[in-house]
Amino acid sequence: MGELVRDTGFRLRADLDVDLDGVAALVGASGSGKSTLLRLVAGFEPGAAVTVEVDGETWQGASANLAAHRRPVGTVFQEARLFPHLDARTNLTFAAHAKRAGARLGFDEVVDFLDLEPLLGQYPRELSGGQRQRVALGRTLLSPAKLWLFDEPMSALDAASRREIAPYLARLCRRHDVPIIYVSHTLAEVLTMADQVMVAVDGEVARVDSVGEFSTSFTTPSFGDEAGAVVSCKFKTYDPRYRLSELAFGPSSLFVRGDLSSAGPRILLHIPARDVSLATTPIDRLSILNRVDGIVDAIDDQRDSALARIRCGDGQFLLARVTRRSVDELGLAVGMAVQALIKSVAVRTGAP
Amino acid sequence: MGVTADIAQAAWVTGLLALTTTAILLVASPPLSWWIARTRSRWRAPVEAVVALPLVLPPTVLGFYLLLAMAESGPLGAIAEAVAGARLAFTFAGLVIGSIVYSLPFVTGPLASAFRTTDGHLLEAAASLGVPPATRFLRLVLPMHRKALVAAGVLGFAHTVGEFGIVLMIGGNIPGETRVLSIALFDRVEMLDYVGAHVIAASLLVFSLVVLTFTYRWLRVP
Repeated sequence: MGELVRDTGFRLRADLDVDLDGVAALVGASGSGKSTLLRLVAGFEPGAAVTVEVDGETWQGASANLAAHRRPVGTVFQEARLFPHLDARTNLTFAAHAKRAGARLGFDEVVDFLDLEPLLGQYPRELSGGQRQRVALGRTLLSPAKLWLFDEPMSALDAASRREIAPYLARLCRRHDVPIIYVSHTLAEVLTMADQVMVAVDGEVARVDSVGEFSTSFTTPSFGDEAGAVVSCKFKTYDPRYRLSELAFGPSSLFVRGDLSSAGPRILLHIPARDVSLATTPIDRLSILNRVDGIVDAIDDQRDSALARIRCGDGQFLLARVTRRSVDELGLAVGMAVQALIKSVAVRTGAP
Repeated sequence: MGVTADIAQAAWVTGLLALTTTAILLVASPPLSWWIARTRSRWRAPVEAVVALPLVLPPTVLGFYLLLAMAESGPLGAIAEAVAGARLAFTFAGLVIGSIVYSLPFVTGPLASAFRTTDGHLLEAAASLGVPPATRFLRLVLPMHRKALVAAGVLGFAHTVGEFGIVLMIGGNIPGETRVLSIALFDRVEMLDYVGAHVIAASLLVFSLVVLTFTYRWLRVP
């Protein structure tokens, strides 16, 4: 992808060559060009002097401009953009008029997946914000596409609607039907949805990280209370007596509730920093099952507390939120051996 | 022919003319209006001006030039002769062409105004689903503006019913072919048949009033 110079002097540089597989989050402060990048890929900026090349095909360039409806790209916008004169069912099936190649999911499957059955006969004005966005999501899934673009699909919703739709989005992101570029400015969203993270800074995609690298990188802005590590584990055994799965995390084990034997070879866990405590001497008798040995890799002093990054056995990182008083009393310093006590773990790659 | 039969025949010709004209305008106008509403071409203003000419010119001016064009030596007349072997001047077909030109701004104008309010975000959404422009126009734009379409059709119909000058110039006054109500009214007055004139004039007045009242009321219904 090339360069866009707008009348405002805004410049977008995105010399991107990303292998898209799964969900690639695109993050960055507002005004960093995230949405513009999506609009360029989708074909909504036909006048822009850029080169857009996807899958070896040139969609936009000096001599070519593929119209938006011919690009095998489905977009989910911030607002649902449902057609007001059509009921939910007809909105969903509107892509039957599509004239382009690409796989599409089946109607029944999508209705089932998003629980749309009760909404089918209703008109957009009769639906809540969250329901409308669910229908819009289904409509995009039913259009032929090789790539899905999600442009902050939850940012225009209130908190209740967000809670309603987030599980659907998360499950969709785990399905890997079609690669997704997911624009977001919410860390929690990125940590629960993305496999890769592209960071846009001042109209430039500065770097592309795995979600694990991204989640524990201190250069990522505005962590706030949502900070947490995303780590990759392997399934070891399931103990039906306690209903606990044992996962290999480097040389250590992590115990997670539920049977994850069919969750696939690589299981991603989201471990919030606020649920990780640190001990400088091993503690024997404690109700916390998950204890991982590591070395303090970095400490980021923040206003009210500190964020410690712990390097664990196999080179992955955990984040621990500790008070600055604890840092001083324990004498925490880079290079120190510590034990991370993990109070809660959320499984990201869920069982199907 | 009796007075009543004469008026009835003129009413029939008028209705047929207005229906034919409205039908053609409702097919031809939406694409033109869409273009006017959305284009950034420098031709937009000149095209809009041509469409709006009947609003400001005396109908006799348009009628005069249309008559010249429809004459056997004129361009339209020559085409009609070559294609269909038919005459245009002083025929019903010629009247239809004249009425289309004359009523065009009454259909195109309101439609273009309505189309300008189209939410471009919805068209983008449709494009993102892979739906081509023509289908977007037919399945989204037209249904979303169905009220404006009906209103434009009613205006076009009512306005065609009320035309006089252009008909007189290119249609003449041939009973059953080109004699419409407004011409018949003129005839009645010429013959000093004020009763017949009243029948026609009052009918047209009431018709227009009723149609416009119902249209404006219906447009307000959400």
